[in-house]
Amino acid sequence: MAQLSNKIKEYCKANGVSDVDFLEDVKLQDDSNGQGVYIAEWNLDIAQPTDAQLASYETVANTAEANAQVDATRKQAYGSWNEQLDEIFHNIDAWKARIQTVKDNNPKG
Amino acid sequence: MAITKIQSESLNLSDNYDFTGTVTGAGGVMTPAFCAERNGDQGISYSVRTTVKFNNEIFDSSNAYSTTSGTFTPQVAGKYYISANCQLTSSQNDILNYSFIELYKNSSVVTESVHNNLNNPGKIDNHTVIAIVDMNGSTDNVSIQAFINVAAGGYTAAIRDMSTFQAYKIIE
Repeated sequence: MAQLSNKIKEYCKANGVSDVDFLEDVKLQDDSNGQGVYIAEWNLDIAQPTDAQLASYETVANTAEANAQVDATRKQAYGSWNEQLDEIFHNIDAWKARIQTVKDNNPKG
Repeated sequence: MAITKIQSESLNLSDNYDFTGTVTGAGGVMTPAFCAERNGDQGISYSVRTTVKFNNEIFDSSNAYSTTSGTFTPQVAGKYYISANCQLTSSQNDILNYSFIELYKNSSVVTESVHNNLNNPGKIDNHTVIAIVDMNGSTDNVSIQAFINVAAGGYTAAIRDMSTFQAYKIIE
């Protein structure tokens, strides 16, 4: 199940808000009492979504989470910028081939 | 015999005094006091303020800490030294953007500890908060909230095992 924050991000994106600050724009709260996460404050100009509206973003949020996980895996496999710059300096074609292999091994949904 | 007055010239401060009775009206006690820890990780959703449940009491002199709600509600009015230490972690390296913990008195933040790793995301942040808080001895309570922001979705985040929360009343 997708995180509530990601479903809200997708809802906001679909309604013209590209970036959500979860410290100011939307405050989510979990009182650790078994009731789960809820929206404690909604400070965006667009309407606060209903539970049903948020549920409709489950699939797209799951895909976004999976792709973000792929991004993180790729980033680790790419290595640091300075290591890559050194690779490029010595053999740019070998570097391109290695990067392509990382992408092929970690496809996005 | 109750001593009502001691004049400095009648008390040799270099002497030893061996009391066999009870001395009252001196000193004080540093209770209520408690110490609790996380026993096992507490998973949390990212970008969500989450009440930390320190679920294992090391001691609790006055039954004032609730492992169910994570709140300390002492029934003696006074000033309390309160501290907490929390280790917040993501399940993956290089994705922990920022995190914080906040010490709440009732619904207001007293103090917080913030780590900002946006330029170099990591995996684990250690936080400590300390404050002296005036408590009314009936309804006032304190608790700890934690927040984690990660760069990538799909991973888990947690408040680590052995994070601690403790308090004691100071002698006034």
